[in-house]
Amino acid sequence: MEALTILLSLLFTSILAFLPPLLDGIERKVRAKIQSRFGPPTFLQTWYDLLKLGVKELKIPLSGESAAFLVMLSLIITLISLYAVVYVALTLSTSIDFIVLAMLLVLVAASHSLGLVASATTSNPFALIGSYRSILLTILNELGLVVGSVLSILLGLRLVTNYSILTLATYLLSLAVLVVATYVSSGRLPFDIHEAEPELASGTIIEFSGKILGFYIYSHLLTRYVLSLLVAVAISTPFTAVFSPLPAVFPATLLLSACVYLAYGVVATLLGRTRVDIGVRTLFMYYLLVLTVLVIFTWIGI
Amino acid sequence: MLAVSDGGKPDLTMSEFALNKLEEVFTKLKRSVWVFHLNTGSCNGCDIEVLDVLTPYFDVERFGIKLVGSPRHADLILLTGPVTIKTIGKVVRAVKAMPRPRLVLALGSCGVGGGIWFNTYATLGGYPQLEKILKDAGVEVDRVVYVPGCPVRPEAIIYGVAVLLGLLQPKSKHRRVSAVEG
Repeated sequence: MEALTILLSLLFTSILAFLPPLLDGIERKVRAKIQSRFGPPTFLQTWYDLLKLGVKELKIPLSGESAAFLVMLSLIITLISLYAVVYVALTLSTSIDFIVLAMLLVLVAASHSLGLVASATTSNPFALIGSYRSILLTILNELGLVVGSVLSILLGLRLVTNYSILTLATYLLSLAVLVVATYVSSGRLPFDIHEAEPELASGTIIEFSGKILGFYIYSHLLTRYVLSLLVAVAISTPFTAVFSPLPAVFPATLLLSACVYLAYGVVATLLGRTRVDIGVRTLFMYYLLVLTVLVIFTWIGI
Repeated sequence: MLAVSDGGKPDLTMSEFALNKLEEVFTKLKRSVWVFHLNTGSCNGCDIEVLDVLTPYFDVERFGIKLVGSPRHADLILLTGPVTIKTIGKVVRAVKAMPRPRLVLALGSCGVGGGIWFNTYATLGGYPQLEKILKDAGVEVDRVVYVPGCPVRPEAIIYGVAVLLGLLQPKSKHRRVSAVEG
């Protein structure tokens, strides 16, 4: 059974790895519709962009030779994190493997950090400023990501066996934390400050070109999908436990992950760019408020 | 294939990229072109038209065109202005920072030949004069298209990109002449 799960996880990972650029293409079309534009000519536009970058010349600045290695390492780690989240989604019907979940969160953080280290090695001042800002945001957001994902999945499973209004409220609250944390982690407006294009001339990715840029963008899109799938898993947890072992739950989770990905894209289109420090400050206040409420709920006996 | 540079200093290894892969990249570029806007001392007339091209009305994303913030990401430079003497160093660095194939769209009367500033003490006289400096610096530009106009029309910019990528034929041929001074 274990070997079958691992094989299925590998199979789905290899299929899903091709999905994020396609979802990004759909998101670009949706964004264009909201802005009364036609948008890219096809849903495959992001794939065309990546394929073009793959055949462009690769220019590496002096002292940035290790960037290529670090970006590739980041991509491999992101692929492993995709495998981990698919494994969590497949095994959720019976119980939750918290070791895999913890490993998933570490892998997502590692993927972010490696991307930042790669850009910092280019020694470009814009890349360094962008990396500093991103590190600040990542440290702040990591708490929300850990608390949100662990609590929402745990409480989602508990809802089936021990239903109460308070459990439901805490589950929804932790889900809200997870949604915000994954939105911030996916680097969408206004939390894309590390690569805030108009302000920092592309920030952390300013020195990347050709294949390195292509792999970085692909890794970034893959991370976005991993986070969307994590939210989809957290949302479908109570239903997975109820309908276990219904095989329709996993495809529904995949469909939900695509919807979450596109919903984040719509939110990013509707939100404007704010001053760079406001995003971090607002996020800090939000986490302070919500986590205090969660602690109180825990105190009174959830 | 691999060129190592720090922007300002000369490349340590020269790229042999264009010799064997140029046609393959041009095929890919027909579906995806990332442009970098480079103002070389323009009056901002052409720059406003470039911004107009990127607005929802003209929406160049429908042709796979995207504005990027770094020349490292760009396939095409939208060059406006007569290239003032003060900007030469920075313009050469920006063009050099682009990975090959490098494409240039010289926009407006100033970009095409300097306009009324074709031979002043403070300007170089548009892209043709800059091209000589780029050649001296060992910076290869693979394709150039000139789009005249003062300011250049947004439709003309889009047409120029299509001509540059080989999707359309140029509407007119040009013959460069030298002005007689005095």
